[in-house]
Amino acid sequence: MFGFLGPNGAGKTTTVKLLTTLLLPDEGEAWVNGYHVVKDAKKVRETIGVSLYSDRGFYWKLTGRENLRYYAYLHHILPREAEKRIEKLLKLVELKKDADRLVEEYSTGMKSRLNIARALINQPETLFLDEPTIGLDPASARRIKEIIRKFADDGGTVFLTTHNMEEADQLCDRIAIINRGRIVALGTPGELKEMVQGKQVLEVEAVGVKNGLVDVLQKKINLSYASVTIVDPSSFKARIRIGFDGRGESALPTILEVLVRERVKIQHIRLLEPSLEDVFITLTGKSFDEEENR
Amino acid sequence: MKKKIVNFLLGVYAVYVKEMKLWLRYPTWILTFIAMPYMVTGLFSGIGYVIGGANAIKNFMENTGTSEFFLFSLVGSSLFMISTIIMEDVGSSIRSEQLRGTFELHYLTPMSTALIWTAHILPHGTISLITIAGTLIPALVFSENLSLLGIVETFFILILALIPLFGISLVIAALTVRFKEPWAVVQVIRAFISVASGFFYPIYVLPRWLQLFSLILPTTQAVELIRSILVYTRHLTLTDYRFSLLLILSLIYFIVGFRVFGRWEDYARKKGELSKY
Repeated sequence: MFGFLGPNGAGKTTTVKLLTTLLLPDEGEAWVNGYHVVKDAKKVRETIGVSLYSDRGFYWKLTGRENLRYYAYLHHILPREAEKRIEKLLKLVELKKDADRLVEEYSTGMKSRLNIARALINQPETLFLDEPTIGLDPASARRIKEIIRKFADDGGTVFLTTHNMEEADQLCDRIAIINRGRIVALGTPGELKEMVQGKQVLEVEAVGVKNGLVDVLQKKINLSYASVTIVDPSSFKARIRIGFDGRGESALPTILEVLVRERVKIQHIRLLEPSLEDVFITLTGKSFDEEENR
Repeated sequence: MKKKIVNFLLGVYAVYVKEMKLWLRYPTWILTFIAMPYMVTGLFSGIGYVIGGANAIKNFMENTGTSEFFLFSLVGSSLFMISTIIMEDVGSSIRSEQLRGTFELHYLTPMSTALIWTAHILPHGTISLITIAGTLIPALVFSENLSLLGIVETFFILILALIPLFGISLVIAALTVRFKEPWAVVQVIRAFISVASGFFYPIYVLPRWLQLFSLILPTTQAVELIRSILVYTRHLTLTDYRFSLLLILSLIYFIVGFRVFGRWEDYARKKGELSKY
């Protein structure tokens, strides 16, 4: 399972669309399952499954089963075989009892599961999933992850794009971190996290955070990096992520002193182990949110 | 080869079943489509009477060679309805596919998308046949012009006329892929075709330049041929120049539509327009 991790606008969906033949590249070449994405586009499409949206991509006035049947036929699957696969997939995504209801009556979670079933209808070698759990409640997201995991355990390849670092860390065997259209790091989650080994992270949630706070902190303490993510612009509520080389506890009094002097109201403060987000900040100097809002 | 044919038929079947299900889940459109030509005919007979007075039918006969105003107008208004539906429907179907997110999913299947959109001719053809049968058969019974051969010939011409109309609709579909909301342009095209095709009057009442233009419209040939069969009870002859012209126009319009759509599709794949809505 390969994860493509990056902030919104980094180029994840564009890459998926290039690899799945939806976009023609201006330059460069790519192969999927041994087939060239431009010259053998039809072969590529025969061997891949794609889920581009979690809750779109259906005929709302058709039932779940009718939607799957339509795509099965467009994938050249004969009716008898199509019915068998549809039954199996409906069972896998737990939509058997709702299969004959119109899709317009489905919840977001049900639509996402149906989307995965649609992507699997042609028994693909490689499954491309673009942010498959975005906008889902935790239970639905967990179910989607289980289905993806099962597909990978059965020998399938998964190309997953996400900007959810926990999801990438949890699911993926290898991860590429992408920023502004370029891969900035590639490796297993363990290998990537080695880049921030020995660092410690302090996360502060506070209200009244103003521009320039990071500069003030950096003048006072020797930080490895720091980033500010505005959570609520109206109250200036923000999440401050500070990375240290070594132990962070010793710097805590100075940080608190600076924050109090800057009239920042601290709501929550905690020490964390570094995550993939810290890898991203180390490599790009910015957090995902800062990059998205640039 | 056999596998290719089976795959193609599967795709056509999929599109047919899907479209017919979507149409038939809301069957009230049948009433609208069948009633509309009667309403338009009623409207024109009212206007005609106001202008022509007691001599209205006599004047009509002098201009058209038939006193069957009702049937004459019903044929025209039915074909007007059908051409409007076909021309707009592919564009509006693609538009709603874009909004639903199903449009670009077709480009992820191994089925040729040109064939997928072309396969829409069949369900649209079925809708057209239902519309024309539902509208014209009662009127034909009433006017005593009903003949089985006439109905078969009419259906044949209608199916032939759908091909160039589909060519036009592919151009409209290309405009939809490119510009998303091309309805202003579409309305102008539609209005122009409506005026020049002689749906409601013989084309010789038009100015000379417009008559020449109307000759290259497949709708003109279709309406003239179907009127000839149903109103003037003449049988279709393959030597009729209007029939040959309709055949040629079918081919030209369809090829042009297919190629225009193909070009816009390539453009959309290069520029990432397929997913934009």
